[in-house]
Amino acid sequence: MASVQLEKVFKRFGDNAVVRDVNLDIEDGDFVVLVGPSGCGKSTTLRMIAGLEEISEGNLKIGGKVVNNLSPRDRDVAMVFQSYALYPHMTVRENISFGLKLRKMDAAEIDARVKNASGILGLDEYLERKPKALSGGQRQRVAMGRAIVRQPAVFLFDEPLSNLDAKLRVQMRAEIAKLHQQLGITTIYVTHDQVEAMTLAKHIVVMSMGLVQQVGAPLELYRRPANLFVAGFIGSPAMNFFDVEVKEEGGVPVMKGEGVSVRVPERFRSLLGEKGRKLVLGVRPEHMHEATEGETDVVVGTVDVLEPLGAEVHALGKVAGSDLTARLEPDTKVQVGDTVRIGVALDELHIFDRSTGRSLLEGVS
Amino acid sequence: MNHDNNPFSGGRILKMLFLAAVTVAVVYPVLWVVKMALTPSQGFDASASPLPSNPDLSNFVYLFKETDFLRWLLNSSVVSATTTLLGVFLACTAAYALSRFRFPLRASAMMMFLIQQMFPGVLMMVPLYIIVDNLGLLDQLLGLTLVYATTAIPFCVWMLKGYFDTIPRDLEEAALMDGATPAMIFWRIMLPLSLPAVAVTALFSFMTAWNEFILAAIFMNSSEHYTLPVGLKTMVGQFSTEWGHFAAGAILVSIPVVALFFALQKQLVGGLTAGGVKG
Ligand SMILES: Nc1ncnc2c1ncn2[C@@H]1O[C@H](COP(=O)(O)OP(=O)(O)OP(=O)(O)O)[C@@H](O)[C@H]1O
Ligand SMILES: [Mg+2]
Repeated sequence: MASVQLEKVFKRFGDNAVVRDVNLDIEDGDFVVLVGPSGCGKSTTLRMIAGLEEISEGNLKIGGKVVNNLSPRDRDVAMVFQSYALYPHMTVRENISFGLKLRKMDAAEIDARVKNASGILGLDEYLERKPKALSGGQRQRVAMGRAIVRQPAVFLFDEPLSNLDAKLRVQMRAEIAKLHQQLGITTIYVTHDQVEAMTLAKHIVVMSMGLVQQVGAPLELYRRPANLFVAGFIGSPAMNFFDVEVKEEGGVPVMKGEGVSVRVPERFRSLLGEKGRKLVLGVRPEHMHEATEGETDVVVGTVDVLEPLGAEVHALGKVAGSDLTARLEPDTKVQVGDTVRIGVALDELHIFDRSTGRSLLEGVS
Repeated sequence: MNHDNNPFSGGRILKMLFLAAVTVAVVYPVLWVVKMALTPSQGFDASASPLPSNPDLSNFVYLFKETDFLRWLLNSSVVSATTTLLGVFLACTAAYALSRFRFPLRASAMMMFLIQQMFPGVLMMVPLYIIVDNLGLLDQLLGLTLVYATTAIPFCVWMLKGYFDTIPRDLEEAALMDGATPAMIFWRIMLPLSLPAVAVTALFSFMTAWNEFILAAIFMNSSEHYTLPVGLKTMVGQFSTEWGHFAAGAILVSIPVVALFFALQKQLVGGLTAGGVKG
């Protein structure tokens, strides 16, 4: 087991920097999820840690030692690929033990480790089969088994669940979490699925366009996203954004936009700067409700689609030019085409500077 | 696919007749060669029946007793086997490098291989003769082997490179993570997975050497260095041809190729379907 540090790491393909100035400090035993949209450089970052991709600039340390120039086999890391990358001509047993055989481990120890791993992963019956005779979920387990038996210092996963159907994905997600609890091995996990990130991670690293946007525990990112990108990326359904400006109304600062009028809560007032500053107000769908008669902190919009999910109803529509998604009670009377007044929870607001996209609430508890 | 259950339906009978006709057309000449080989030269009847009237093995006995046939068989075997080993080994390593590594002139190298294949072999005869002569390898099996290997390699490289290209890089990266060196990856992952393509190239190299006549006839002067095709040609005399001996020789020559085909059949068929589905 080991800690992993990235210090000012860059990756360039020709002139194109696809990973820029990444700094990460991953503790021993941590479970870190790299998350971000397609093409943001997650896999590239992971592959640099694995040693499959050269580091253009900066330092990578594993266990406190700079390993930039070590080949993958000397880094003591194991990786699970999105495609599983099982050796088609070998049985499950041979697949799992290949790495140990290459390391000239003695046969009894190999047997013991394979047995242990296949027990954990429920692969006992399949050890003598070839990969093509396995289902997707079983192949996935074999790929994990191959990583586990090595007892590496660091596990790397690159979207290991993206080829599985939804149900299996949930099941395997739980197994990966359990595995990490049992083995306690430092894990770095890449996904573009924010639900996977939220449920698995001790720490999430949100990336976009090669840059780290924010690092933090899942709930920190949910409660205090550092910028518009993270705010829109974490949470499902995604946060609503409304363009607003601060105006005085009856001696109170109010955030005003087309169809939007929300008082600035007392504790945020000092953070907003001068009047007339262009801001973005962010409200999560789960912090919205149908407004009562006298309620004043509201957005007014039209409903285009209703998605009844049983426990709740998602109302999709528009507030002036912006999209609106609100979570309503299951017994709501709202109909498609209605104009609705939606109340927002003042304690759960997010406020961003429109030009920089940065949150103004950083550091506020 | 047409699932026709009635074995006597018109369409089906028509299909059968057609297949039978094609089979006869293909097999008939072969049977005739067998008939010639089994009929002593005097008693040859030119009837249309492909069955010999009173078969015996005198033609075969003649080949082994009165000619250098065994010597030629040995020469051909040595030349073909060495050509195959050398050709396949060099083609595999070259194809792997061309498939996986990026280096200067890589594309030009592939092009050169291709261009070389475009010229008819005869065109190469004179330069090859001069080169082999300069190496002092005329009338030697080694010279012939080198020539065959170099003519077989371009096709083999293209064939193998195309196949290597279809093997996902992930597999090699997984092996790299598992602790394999590039050499181990080549021997333990790439080659086993490429067996169908290797089988095809091996067969091709073998047949290139086994059946080749023109170069062998030019390079080899002494009867004890003849390969089978050259040796057999000596039976086609200036004034008369011993067709019986020739046919018997032809059958013996084709046996190893047929045997090799059968031995590699599984790989060859695999080669046609592999790469269709991966994972
Ligand atoms: N070998 C390469 N040469 C040039 N550009 C590359 C290379 N590999 C990746 N890139 C570029 O680097 C960027 C990041 O790629 P990367 O694979 O890390 O994305 P990702 O975040 O893993 O995306 P996804 O979720 O789709 O897997 C992409 O824009 C990609 O086009
Ligand atoms: Mg990726």
